[in-house]
Amino acid sequence: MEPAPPILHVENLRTQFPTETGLVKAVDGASFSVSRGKTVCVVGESGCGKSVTGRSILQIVDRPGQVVGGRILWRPNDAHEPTDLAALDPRGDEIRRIRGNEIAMVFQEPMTSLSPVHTIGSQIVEAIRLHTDLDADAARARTIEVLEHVGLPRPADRFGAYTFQLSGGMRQRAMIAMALACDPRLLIADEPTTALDVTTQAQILRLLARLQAEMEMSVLFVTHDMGVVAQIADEVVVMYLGTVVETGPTEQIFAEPRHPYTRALLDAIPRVGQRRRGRRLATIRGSVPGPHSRPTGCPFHPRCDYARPGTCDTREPATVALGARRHVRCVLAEEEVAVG
Amino acid sequence: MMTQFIVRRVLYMIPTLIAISIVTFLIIQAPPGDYLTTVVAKLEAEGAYVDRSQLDALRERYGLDDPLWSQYWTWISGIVTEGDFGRSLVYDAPVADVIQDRMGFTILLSLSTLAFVWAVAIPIGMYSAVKRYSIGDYAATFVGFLGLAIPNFLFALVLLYVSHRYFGQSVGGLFSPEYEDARWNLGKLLDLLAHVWIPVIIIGTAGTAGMIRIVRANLLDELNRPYVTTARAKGLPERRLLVRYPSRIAASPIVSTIGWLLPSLISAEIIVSVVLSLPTTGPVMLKALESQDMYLAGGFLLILSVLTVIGTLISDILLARLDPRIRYGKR
Repeated sequence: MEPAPPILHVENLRTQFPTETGLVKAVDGASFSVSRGKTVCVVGESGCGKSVTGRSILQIVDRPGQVVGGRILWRPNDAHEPTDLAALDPRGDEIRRIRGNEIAMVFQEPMTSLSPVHTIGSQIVEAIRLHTDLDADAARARTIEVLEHVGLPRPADRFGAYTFQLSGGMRQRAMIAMALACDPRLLIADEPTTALDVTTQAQILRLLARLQAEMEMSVLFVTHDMGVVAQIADEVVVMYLGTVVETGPTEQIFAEPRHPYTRALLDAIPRVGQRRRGRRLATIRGSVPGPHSRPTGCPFHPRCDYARPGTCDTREPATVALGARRHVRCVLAEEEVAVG
Repeated sequence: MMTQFIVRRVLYMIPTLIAISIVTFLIIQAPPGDYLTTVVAKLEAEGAYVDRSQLDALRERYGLDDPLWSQYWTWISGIVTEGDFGRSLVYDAPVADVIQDRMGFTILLSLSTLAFVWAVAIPIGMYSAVKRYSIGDYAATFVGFLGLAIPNFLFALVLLYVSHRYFGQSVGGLFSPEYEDARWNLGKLLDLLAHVWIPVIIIGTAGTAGMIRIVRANLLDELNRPYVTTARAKGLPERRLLVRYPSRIAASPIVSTIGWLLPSLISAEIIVSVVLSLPTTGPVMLKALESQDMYLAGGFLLILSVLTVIGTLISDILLARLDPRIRYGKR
């Protein structure tokens, strides 16, 4: 039997920002897919294009950025042909019907990502009434129900609360409630725990895992935190400078990273007792190049310990499949496959 | 919450108003001599006979020999209890009547101008922000700067010429001569509408130009905020999104200027009113200041100050309605 087609398949996605100082290729040929009911984490340093990738799926990239190439195949239902989200007009009705309805999004900073002058209740009701034909009372009841579902204490009282009257954790719960109000099939979470303290972060992660299981949704989780990845991901997509350098099941990525960048990322996780054993925290040499000074060849080669002059700096490596759901974009992997 | 906020703001107004009335009184007392010396000087200059007993009666009436604080009390209690602002010597009539006569047209003209400014500037400003750096934006910016740069009086003269030369209208005023003293009927109303657009456009142009810039800048600040992206991710149509989220927040700085609009209802269009000989309060105030008609000038100053305070109260209330962070603010 053929494996079920993924709910989301991103292929060679390219998103660019024409700026006064030149074209910024924020996402430059990224490919990955999200299986039904799974959690996929997109990881990478700041500026690697992970957030823009998440936003490209819903076509809500900040102007002047826009999706210029590739395909985003969305298949909420096995029986139907997929829709190519990349081909839809970002301001059209088709993509709007999907936003907030089939695919919902949770953002990083709930204080600034929710309107300061509208109650959280009215912001959630708005989403519900946009995508369902519930009347005002039913939408209100549904809102209180989702607020309760995400564990907001006294949801009926909080319906009329403003963001500045809630704590960070409660705000993020309200934001999640808003995303889940219309039973999305895919939730894109853009660093939803980054702005929270560690305890709240753990609560929100548990909440997301619980909701995902209950609602059988797929989750695309954008983060820079490998600890979070280890905790929640089924699969990992590692991004560097707008390209996907490695994808694979979480255990494999952690146990056997194949791309030098993934290895470097994993080495940079601080571990308890590290100092006692006389080891300093490993860091990745150099820093992410600016958007206008993108290296030629493999984008990672100037910082790579295994880089080979003459190869890595002249041509872009091909993405090679090392298993059913395992891909690496590196010259070393290319050779391995050729030899093996 | 809202009632409490309003009550608190109204209570704050009381000491402010008292302070303003004292300062205004000191200003109208500042020129040497008093009201009656000016009257006597004027009458004598005209060679008229000055009636001693009438003078004494007036002196008594205004308590001019009393100490300053007692004079202030007479003045302010007259205003508060009877609406008696004293007597204008230029017009030889109660100050209240002089101001009242011209109030109707002043308010009509000012409100039409305000409606014109907002109706034109807000849509254009929003368009300019949303379509930033488009041809339309550049055109709006160009016309806007032109409007800001052309002095009102010059613009008034040009429009007067145009309306006279090409539309055959009578020059200046709010009515044609044949309707000036006529009773109100449809013809007079139409005549008023045919005249009122000239001052409205003249007075409104600079304001419109400034307002376009303010609306554009405020909205640009908000358009790329994360909450806008969130609303977009919810699936809101662009137009509804624009009106409901960024515009709502960008409106606050504009609403806060309503406080200054109220006093400008009376005083702002002085020069244009003089050029166009409009029956509004502006020219009267100018005349009062020129001729040291101190009770008339004082009356104007007091009304303008009170309107500023009330305007500020109104914009505070509107702001609180618009932004819960102000409503729930500390204190």
